[in-house]
Amino acid sequence: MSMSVTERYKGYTAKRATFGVVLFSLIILASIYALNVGPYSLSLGDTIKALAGENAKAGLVLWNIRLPRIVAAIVVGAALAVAGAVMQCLLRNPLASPFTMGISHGAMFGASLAIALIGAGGAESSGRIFINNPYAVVLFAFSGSLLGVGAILLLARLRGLSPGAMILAGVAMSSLFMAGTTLIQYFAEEEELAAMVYWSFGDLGRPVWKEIWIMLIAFVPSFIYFLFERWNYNAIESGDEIAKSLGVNVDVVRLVGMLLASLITAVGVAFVGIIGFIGLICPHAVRLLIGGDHRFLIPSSALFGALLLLLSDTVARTVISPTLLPVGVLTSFMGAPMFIYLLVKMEQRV
Amino acid sequence: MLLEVDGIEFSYDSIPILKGVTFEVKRGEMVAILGPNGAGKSTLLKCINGILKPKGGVVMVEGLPGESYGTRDMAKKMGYVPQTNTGNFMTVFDAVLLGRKPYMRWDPSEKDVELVGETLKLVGLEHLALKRTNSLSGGELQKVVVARALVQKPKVLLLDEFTNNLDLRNQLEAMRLVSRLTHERGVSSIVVMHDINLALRYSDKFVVMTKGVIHAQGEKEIIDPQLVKGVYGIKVLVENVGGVPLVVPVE
Repeated sequence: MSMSVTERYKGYTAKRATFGVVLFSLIILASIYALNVGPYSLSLGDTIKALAGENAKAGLVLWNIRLPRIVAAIVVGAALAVAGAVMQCLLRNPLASPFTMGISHGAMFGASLAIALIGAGGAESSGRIFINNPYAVVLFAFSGSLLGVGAILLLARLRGLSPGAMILAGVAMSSLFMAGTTLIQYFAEEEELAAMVYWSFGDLGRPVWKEIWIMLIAFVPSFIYFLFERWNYNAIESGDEIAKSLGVNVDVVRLVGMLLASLITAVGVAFVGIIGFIGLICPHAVRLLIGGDHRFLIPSSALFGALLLLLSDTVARTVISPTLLPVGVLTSFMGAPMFIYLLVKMEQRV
Repeated sequence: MLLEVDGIEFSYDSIPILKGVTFEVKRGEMVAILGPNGAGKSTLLKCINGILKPKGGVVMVEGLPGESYGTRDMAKKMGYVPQTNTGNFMTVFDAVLLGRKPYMRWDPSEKDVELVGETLKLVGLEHLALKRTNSLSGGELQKVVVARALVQKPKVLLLDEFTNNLDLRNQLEAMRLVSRLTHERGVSSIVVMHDINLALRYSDKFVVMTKGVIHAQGEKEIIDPQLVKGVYGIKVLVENVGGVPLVVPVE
C-alpha cells in the first residue's frame, strides 16, 4: 500500500533534519583536518597531545594560531550565511546578502573611521594588524552597516522598486562606502593605513580569542532570535499580505530581522574584514538541497556557511603553502559566477 | 450576524477608494462582490481583514469590532486568499501548514499535520504535497493558497478572484468546494469575482460596487440588464438556463 501524504511528509522532514546532522559532522571532520595541516604539520596523535599541553611549541601553534582561525571561520561563515538567508526572505530578493547590499562595505567604512578618528587599531612593525579597542571598532562598524541597511530599507518601502533595482542600489551604496574608506585612508598615518587596508581582504588569521568571544556574543542570541521567527519568515516568504492575514506584524519583524542581520555582519567584518558571497550562495545551496522552509533553512544555512568558509580558508592557506591566500579571494571566485547565474535566472523569470 | 461591514471608508494618497461601504453576511452565506476594475473590491477585502486600516467605519466579527481581537485571534477568525500569489522553495505541504501558524506555540502539532493532509485531499493536491510551490502551475498554486486559508479554520473566508487562474473544470470545482464548506461549516464567505455567471451559479447574495460605493445588493434577482448596463455600461440579456440566470452580452 502506498504511504499516506502525512507519512511521506514526515519522511521528508526527517530527511531535512538528517541533512543538518550530516553538515555538523562534516564541520567536525573539517576542523580536525584544519588543525593538523599547515606549515607546521602534525599527526592526529600529535595534535591531541599538543592540545593537552604535552608539547609546548605545537600547543602554541594550535591554541594561538590554528584553533582561533578555525573557530573564527565557523562563526563568521555561519553569521554571514544566516544574515543572507534572513535578508533574502525579508527583502524577498534572491540576490540579497550582506555583501551585495552594501552592508559589509558600510561596516568596513565604519571600522576604518574608528581607526582614523580614535586610533582604535594599527599595525605592529612585524606587520601584524592589531585592534586595541575592539568595542569601538564594532560600534563604528555596526553604525556604518546601519547606514547601508537604512538606505536599502528606505528604498524597499518605495513602491515599484524591482529586486534588480534594489541590487543596483546596493552596488551604489558599496561604491559610496569604498570611496569614503579611500578618503579616510588618504589622510591616515602609515600604520593606520595598514590596518584599514586589511579590511578589504577578509583574513581569518587575524582575530584573537577576545574578539572571537565578541563575535559569538553577537551571533548566538541573534541566531536564537532568528530561529524563534522561523514561522514568521515562512509567512513573509509567501507575501506581505498573506503574512499580515496570518497575524504577523510584518514591519516590526522585517526591521528587527534586518537590524540583527546587519549586526552579525558588522561584527564579523570588524574583526576579519570583508568576505564576499558566503551570505549569497549558502542559503541558495541549502534551498536547492532541502527546500525553503525556514525551520530548516536557517540552521542548515548556518552550518553550510560555517563548513564552506572553513574549507575555503583551509584551502586558501595550504594550496600554495607556505603562502597564505586571503580567503575572500577564494570565496569571490566561487561566488561571482553564482551571482551572475542567479541574476540571469531572475531576469528570465521577470 | 457573523460579519457586519459598517460604513467602511478608505483613501489612498487622499484619493478616496471606499466611500462608506455597508453590508452584512450571515453564517453559512456566500456573498459575491461584483463590479468593474477599480471599483474598490480588493481594497474592501483587505479592509475587512485588517491588512489595510480603514479610515472610517467598523468591521464587526461575531458581534465584536475587528480591532478588539488580537492579530493572532483575528487570524483564527479570517482566512484570506489574495488575487496574485508567487511560489517559492517551500513544499506544498509546508505552504499549507503555514495556515496553522495562528494555532502553533512552537511547532505544528500532530493534529495540525493531520489536518493539512486531509485538506490536501479535499482540494485534490495530495499528489503534489512534496513539490515546491515555484514548480506549480498558476491553478495549482491558487489551490495551495485556498487550502492554506481552509486549514486556518476561519469563520470568515475572503477570496479575491481566486478562480482566475483555473480552467473551466477547476473553476467549477473550486466554487463548489467553497460553497459546500460555507454551508457545511457555517462559514461566511466573501468572494470578489469578475465572472458574473460563475458568481450567479454558486453565491447566495450579491454586492455590486462602482467607484467605492455599493450600487446594489441583494439576491440573484437584482442582476438584471438594467443593472449590468448601469455598472459595466454594456447591453446584456439575462436568460434562465437550467434554473440558473445566465448573463449574455448582446453588443
